[in-house]
Amino acid sequence: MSVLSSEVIAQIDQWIQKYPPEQRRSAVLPGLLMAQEANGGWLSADVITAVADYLNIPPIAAFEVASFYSMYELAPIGKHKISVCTNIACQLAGCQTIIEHLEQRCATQLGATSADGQYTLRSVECMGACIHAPMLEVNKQYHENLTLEKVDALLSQLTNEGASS
Amino acid sequence: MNAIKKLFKTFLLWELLKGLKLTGRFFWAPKVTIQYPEEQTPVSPRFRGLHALRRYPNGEERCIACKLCEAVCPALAITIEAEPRSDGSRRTTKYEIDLFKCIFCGFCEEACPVDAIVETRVLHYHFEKRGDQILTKAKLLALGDHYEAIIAVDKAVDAKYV
Amino acid sequence: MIDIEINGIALKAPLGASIIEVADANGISIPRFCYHKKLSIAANCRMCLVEVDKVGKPLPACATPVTANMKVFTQSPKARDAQRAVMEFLLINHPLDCPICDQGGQCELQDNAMTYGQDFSRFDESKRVVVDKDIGPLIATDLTRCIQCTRCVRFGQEIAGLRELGALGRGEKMSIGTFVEQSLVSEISGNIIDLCPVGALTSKPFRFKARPWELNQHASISPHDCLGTNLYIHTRNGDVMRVVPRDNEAINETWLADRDRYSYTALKSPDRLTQPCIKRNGQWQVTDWTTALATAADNLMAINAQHGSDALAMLASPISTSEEFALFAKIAKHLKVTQFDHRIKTQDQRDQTILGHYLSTDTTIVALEDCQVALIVGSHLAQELPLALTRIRKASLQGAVIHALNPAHYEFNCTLSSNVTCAYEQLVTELASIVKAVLLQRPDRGYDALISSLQLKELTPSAAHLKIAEDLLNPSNERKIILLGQLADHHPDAALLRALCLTLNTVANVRYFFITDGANSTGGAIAQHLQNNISKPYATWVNNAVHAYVLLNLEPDVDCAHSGALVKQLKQAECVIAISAFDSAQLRESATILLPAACFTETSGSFANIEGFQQCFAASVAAPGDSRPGWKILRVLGNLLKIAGFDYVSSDDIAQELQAELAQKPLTAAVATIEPLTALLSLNKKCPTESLTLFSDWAIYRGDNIVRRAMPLQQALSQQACGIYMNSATAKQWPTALTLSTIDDRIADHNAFIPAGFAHSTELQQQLFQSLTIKPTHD
Repeated sequence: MSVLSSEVIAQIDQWIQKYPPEQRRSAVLPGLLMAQEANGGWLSADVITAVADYLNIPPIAAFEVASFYSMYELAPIGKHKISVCTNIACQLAGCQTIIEHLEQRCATQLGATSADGQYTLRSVECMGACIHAPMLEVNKQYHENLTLEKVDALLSQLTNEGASS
Repeated sequence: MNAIKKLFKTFLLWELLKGLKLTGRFFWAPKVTIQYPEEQTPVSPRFRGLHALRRYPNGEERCIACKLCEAVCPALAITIEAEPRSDGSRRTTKYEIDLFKCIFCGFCEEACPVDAIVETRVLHYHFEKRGDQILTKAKLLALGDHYEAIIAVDKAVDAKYV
Repeated sequence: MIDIEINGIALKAPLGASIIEVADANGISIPRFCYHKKLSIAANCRMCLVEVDKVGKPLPACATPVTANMKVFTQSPKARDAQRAVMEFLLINHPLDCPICDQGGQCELQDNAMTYGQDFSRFDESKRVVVDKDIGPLIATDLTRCIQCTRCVRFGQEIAGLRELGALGRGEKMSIGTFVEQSLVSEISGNIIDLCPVGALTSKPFRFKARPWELNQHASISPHDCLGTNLYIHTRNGDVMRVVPRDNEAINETWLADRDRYSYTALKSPDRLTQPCIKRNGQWQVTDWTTALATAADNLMAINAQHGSDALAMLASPISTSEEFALFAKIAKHLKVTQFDHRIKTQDQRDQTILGHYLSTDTTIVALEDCQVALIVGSHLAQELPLALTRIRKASLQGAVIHALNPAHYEFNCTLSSNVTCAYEQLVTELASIVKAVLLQRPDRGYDALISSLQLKELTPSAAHLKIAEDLLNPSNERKIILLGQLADHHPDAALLRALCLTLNTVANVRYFFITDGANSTGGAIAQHLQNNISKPYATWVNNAVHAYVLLNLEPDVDCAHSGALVKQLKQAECVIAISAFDSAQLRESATILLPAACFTETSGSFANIEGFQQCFAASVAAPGDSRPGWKILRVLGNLLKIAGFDYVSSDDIAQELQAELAQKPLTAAVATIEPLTALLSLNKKCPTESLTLFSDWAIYRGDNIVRRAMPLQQALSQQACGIYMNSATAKQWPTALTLSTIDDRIADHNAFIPAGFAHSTELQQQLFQSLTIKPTHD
């Protein structure tokens, strides 16, 4: 069986169609993203090779892309990837307290995964929500105007979701 | 007038007295002659005598086989062969100085980026048979080990002028 | 051409050229790291910033095309400031380890730092460290020294066509690496050592051995392939320390194949033969040259007198020099020996009676990159002639149509229009089908007779054949080349393949390019040609019982197509004189007199490349021990055989004589006379599914006695070890009990491939046949 599921291939095909036929390689960014999502949030060497083969580019070229952008994970990550903005606006609005709180609650460090494999904390650059700083993103959802209470509520929500599913 | 002066000087042995004055001065002055080899002159910390290869305090040889000393040596007295040691570091397999060729200019010491080759203050040495004048790597390292205390002090004294 | 001004000097420059190209052409130096004349422009090092009049900021000279009346200043305060700033920036993370760096003394960064650098750093943060990667036995990495110029990455992408290295990560964390840690597989990977402007990529066999300033440079020629790659041999104290490329746009551009770069490591092999030896009563005795040569000459004359010249045979390896070949042929002529040849790896020379000797190509090496259509037949080009493939790749990038026809699905590192895989024994019929397709599409020329006489009647060209024929006949394609590789050259029906190529040459004006063995097959052909073709091709007298052999630079057990037969014959022979640079157990067993010869670095001589271009070289180092250059040995042997005119003082004397003779009677390209060639044709109509065909060819680093002893190359070869290679379907059909069999799905159906040149290759072939007769299981 192939590394990429038929759904992922279909998704990549959609992206390929948006580019000229000889520019198949242009779909490498979305392709890796789709593959990453289907692979539990990270890209293994097999997955990168599979995407590269599908797009007819050398595996190293796909790996270059995957290693360049911070949105690709090259090692297994936690179930929830919490991306906290640490750019200037969020910093002024006190993201540091949020991060410290998160580190304490998730029992891990910024940039690392908690021992129970639930949370990965990432510091990210500006995500364009400065007006409601500080902010974080988890599971494609922005959470803005953060306070410690809001973070607690969010974390218990994530834990509950995990328990119910 | 001059003639009279000259006449007096001649008869009163003026020149002789002048010479004796100098003799007398040195006769009573403190002596500078050193009774070599019982006595020795002080040697500068920069003295360029017998060569030695130094080690780091942990026992690792300093020389990294960069061959700058070999390149700079105006008398072509240094011969080096190098290859990777088993741990992958760059080391010499042969490091020889021919003391018959060496002119003790100290360039090797100056060129060395790691203070490995040094010229010590040692100047008393001799060779008993042909071939002894070649300082092999083993000999140089042994010299370094033997004189390390002196070398370290000399280097420390000279450090502020380097 | 437009007028521009650099540093106040008025210059003419071609439109579209970059500032740095114009400056280089006019001897104005601009510092650079990422720019290389053979690679694409990356403009990522910024070292070549220059000031341009009326432009606010300094511009990168490599990426700025010249415009009319442009005024460039490469040394103005503004330019100097920019260059100095870039240099400071590059040095931030560069380690201060020049004393232990192999690049020290030949380093572009060092040189530029002397001019543009400062003697202190304002950077007191900690420097970046990158973990080194193991990329194989040929290249050592010290990636902390990397300045991210990406020349190595671009080389892989653009020249080698095999993207193995990449720029990983970004910003300060960017580093050069491979995807998964693995050895580089490119056959020309060593070039990234030359390209690397710093010491991040250095030669592993040369590691820490010598400093650039200690080395003496000698121009030489590679003995390993028929291109005649130009190289420099760097020596120190009489030892070869390394080999680097010598620019020659007509042959190797600025590149060097790994085989040529690292084969020097064999020169110090413990196998070197350093003293003449004679076998007496089954015991080897070391002797002196006088005795050895006198014994050799006496034996030859005695056997010649007793049994006639048919009892003598002389074989030379195609890595011998032209001078050695000339003397070899003269000795053969004197002794009236007809059994002498250098084509020891081939099996079929039936066309010699028709065509005689001819140049192996009617075009040039440069033409490979200008071709519009190329048909590659029976060639693993990447391994046979790596640098020819870079030319083909260039052509392909310019839109050339490349077709390949092979007994295995080989990679060509470039876009192929078709890569047809057919059974080895079907190569001839496949090529014949293409020829027929060409003939059919040219009804105007009246080739009906040819079609029938070629026995092409029964062939029905497939769509693939028709497509190739169409490309060959397309009137817009003027420059067409057909390459016959070594797989074709060593084919049992090689003469037919050549005949078919020559047919295409006549019918469709397709240039031919027959890849030959070693560096000097052309030199061997010239020697035979000048001696009026008195020799018989080796393939025709393999099994003749012969009393005395003279072997030049070859190892009988691994260097011949008929090694098994040769070893058997040698055992029966009374006298075997082996002139060889290397000793081997097999040679000791077969030979009776061993004469130590010099390798290519130790002798003077010349190699004639595939175009027939004679390239002379001088000895770079002295031969070890008592070994002597081959031409000297043959010259004295000639004296002892009392041949008139054998009083050459230097190899130049022989070369001059050779040139004079060649001027009288030049070796020309083959004149294709189709009709006689057709007489050869008896196409193989064996049904391939009924039998397993074995084919064999020399593995990339097993082709001659030098590379076989180059340890780094042997380590790099590990991916292609001696064994039996079959695709999975074939392996299922013909299971062998042999443990050495390997699945390789590139191999055509019903074919098994055994790389030759290994000690066990011949044995393995026999074993395979034996095991097969027991068990064909499919029915």
